[in-house]
Amino acid sequence: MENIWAFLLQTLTASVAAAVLLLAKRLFLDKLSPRWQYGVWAILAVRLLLPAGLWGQTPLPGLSVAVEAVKTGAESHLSSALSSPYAITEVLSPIPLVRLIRPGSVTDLLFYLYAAGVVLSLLWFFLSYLALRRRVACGRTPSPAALEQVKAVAARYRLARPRRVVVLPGVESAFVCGPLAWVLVLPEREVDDKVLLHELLHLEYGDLWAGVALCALRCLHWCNPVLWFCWDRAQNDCEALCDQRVLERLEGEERRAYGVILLSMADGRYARAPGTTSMANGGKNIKARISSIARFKRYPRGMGFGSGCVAAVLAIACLAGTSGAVDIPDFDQRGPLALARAQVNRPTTVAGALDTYAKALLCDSPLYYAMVAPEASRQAAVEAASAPYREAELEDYLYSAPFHDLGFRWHRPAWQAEWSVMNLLPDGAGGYTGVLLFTPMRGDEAQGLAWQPVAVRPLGEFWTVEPTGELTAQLREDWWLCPSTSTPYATYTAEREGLYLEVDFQCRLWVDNTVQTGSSDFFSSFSTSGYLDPKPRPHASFTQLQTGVGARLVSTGTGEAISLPITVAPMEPGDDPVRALAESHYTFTLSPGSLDEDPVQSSSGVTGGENLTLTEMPAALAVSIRDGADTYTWTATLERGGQS
Amino acid sequence: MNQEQIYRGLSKVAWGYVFLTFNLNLGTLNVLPNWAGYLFFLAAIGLLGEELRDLPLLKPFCILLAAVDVVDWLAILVTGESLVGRFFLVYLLVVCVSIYFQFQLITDLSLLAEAYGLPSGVLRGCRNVDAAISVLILLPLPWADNELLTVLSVLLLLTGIIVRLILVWQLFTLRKSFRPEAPEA
Repeated sequence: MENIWAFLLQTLTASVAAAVLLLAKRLFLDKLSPRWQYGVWAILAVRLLLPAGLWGQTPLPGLSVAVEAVKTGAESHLSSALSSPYAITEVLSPIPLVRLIRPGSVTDLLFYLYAAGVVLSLLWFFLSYLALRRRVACGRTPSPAALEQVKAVAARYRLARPRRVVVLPGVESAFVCGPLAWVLVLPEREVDDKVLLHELLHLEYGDLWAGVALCALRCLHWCNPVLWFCWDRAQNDCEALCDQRVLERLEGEERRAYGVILLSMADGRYARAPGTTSMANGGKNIKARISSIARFKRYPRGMGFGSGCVAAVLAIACLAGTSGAVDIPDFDQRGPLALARAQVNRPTTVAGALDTYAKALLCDSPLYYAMVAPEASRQAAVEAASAPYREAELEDYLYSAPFHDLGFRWHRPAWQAEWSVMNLLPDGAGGYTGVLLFTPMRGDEAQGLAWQPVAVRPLGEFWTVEPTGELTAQLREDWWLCPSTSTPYATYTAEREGLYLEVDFQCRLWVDNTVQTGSSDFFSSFSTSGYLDPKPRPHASFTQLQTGVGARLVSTGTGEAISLPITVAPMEPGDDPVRALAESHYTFTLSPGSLDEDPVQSSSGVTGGENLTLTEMPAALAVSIRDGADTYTWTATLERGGQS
Repeated sequence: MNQEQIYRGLSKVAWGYVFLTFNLNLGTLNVLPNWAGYLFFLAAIGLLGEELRDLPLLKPFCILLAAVDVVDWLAILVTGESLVGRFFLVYLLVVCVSIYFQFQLITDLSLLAEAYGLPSGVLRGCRNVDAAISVLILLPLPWADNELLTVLSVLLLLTGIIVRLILVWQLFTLRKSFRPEAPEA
């Protein structure tokens, strides 16, 4: 937790888990034993130790949206040093990670206050424990009879004995303290064997350590009353479980006598110190334990595996949660919640980023643009998305958009166009450059297409898109789609054995976005028409690939073109080209003709499906040239300057 | 307790499981709804409660599960989509109750079988496998993205169906053991 918003997300997520567990415990109160009732608190403890939103999973997806909405609203007016209004809130660690820098806002101060609270509450618990140990150190040695009684109880029930037994004046009931150096503290009056058994069982099952862990978790979320309530319940469940263990070791009348002892403590006050356990834990709690004892032996039998399965489902609900698919807002939705929904749906794939950007253009939606905007322009994008939606602005856009000039079909809320990206070239910094193309939907008439050069860059776990040029309208007669020399291509070259080879490579990728709508009635034949799905798909993968390859082979001596069979396959630089040609999913065998000019050999094709592996321009090409009985295998590398 | 009452109670449990196991959809209408199964169980709890001490504890859960399923059944009928499934945490709490309900129901019936000297091992085995599958399919794994996990999920579903069929068969077999003697002519 690096800022107050991360803490808020973490503590709210834990509160949701706590609410689920409290509800489940209420449902199974009279059906599952104290072992289960106490054991399920481990789920909450683990929840607090796991960062909220780990692996994109959350118990309640709406929670992160609410936190994002409040954060963006609050932080956009502040100059916080610890948090940014536009970055997604992430919980990197379950404990506060304090950077000692000058606070820039009230939210920074709140985070420092929270972190100080953690330290102070830990200190307070520790000092309370030290004070108790000091009191216990002053305790006097019990009578030989009392020591003998403790020894006898431990021997009878085969339990470990405490290292030290003391009598402390003023103590209401026996208790044990100190997870490392166990001390059994007795009151001045005589203590029943069953009370001693209860305390020795706490030692046997390591309940003191559980108490220390609960104490630490209380400190970590010291300002969350829901969690404090839960830990109080957990400690009472621990006592109830210990009662159950005692009853399992007692017979007949002794069980009733144990209940009477508990009843006699029902008026006592709750004054337990950290690092201790005591049978007397407050009147209200004891009443709940007596109800639990009344149910002893009435819990259904043979439910061990079943109760484990129920606990496992609760663990899945509270720890793993759901992938948290928050609905992407509609293009015209505005306000903090819509913006937060857009923010938590930022693209996680290159195809998803391009799809989101394309739909931001086609719907003229600042909200969608905010999802994909790079860091530098995010503030402007968020401000534009926060402004109220006005229909008049959309109408202005409709008449000014290049899609209007080209005669694309408008079907609210988007221009009906298919987007694709040409030649995604790695930019050497983890991102890509390419040309975004907008073509009419299949069956639509339009006068041309629109294009825009873009850069796709990673930003943390997300991807952003930045236009690197204007959105331009191009008439159809001037531009033929891949494979053609009218569209961008990259050239790979190789020179060996008196031959010079140039390979022009094109790669067009897109996501199938068409939604088929069908209509049929009794009197007309069935007809279908395609529409663009206007909602961004921020986690999409490329589903369609169109390639175009053209090669020229010339003699370096004479400059004369040579026609020999050529096969090409994508490869990584440094790979073995022979292996690449043998193993690649994409091998292109070139045949003479096409690609406009010169003696060119070419190949083209369209590949579809979810499992495309060629999703960017290859760094190099493996080339095989057959000359009679001889086969030459070369590596063609990308020409400096990239695409033409 | 009279044998006829046990027989009638077991009949209702067996038919309840038939409704829980099989679904017959006509469009969005499920003509074998789960809530009908829970109504059978409710009737069975009334009949067997005297014999099985723990069984009446299941009554509130039975009513809850029937009510939730009625709501979901209506939602699917009208909108074509489950309502409970949209609320992840509510859905998982209902799954918890459902797992517990079925586990205890079969446990109690196994105890009944044992009390009358009848075998109960298969019933208990089916109960355990059914509960384990209910948990495993909820694990947040990329079931659809990983080939091995996809195969595993299909295997789990097939196992689940087979186990349910065996369970139904076992319940009808158990019922047969309590068939009342036909009155002599």
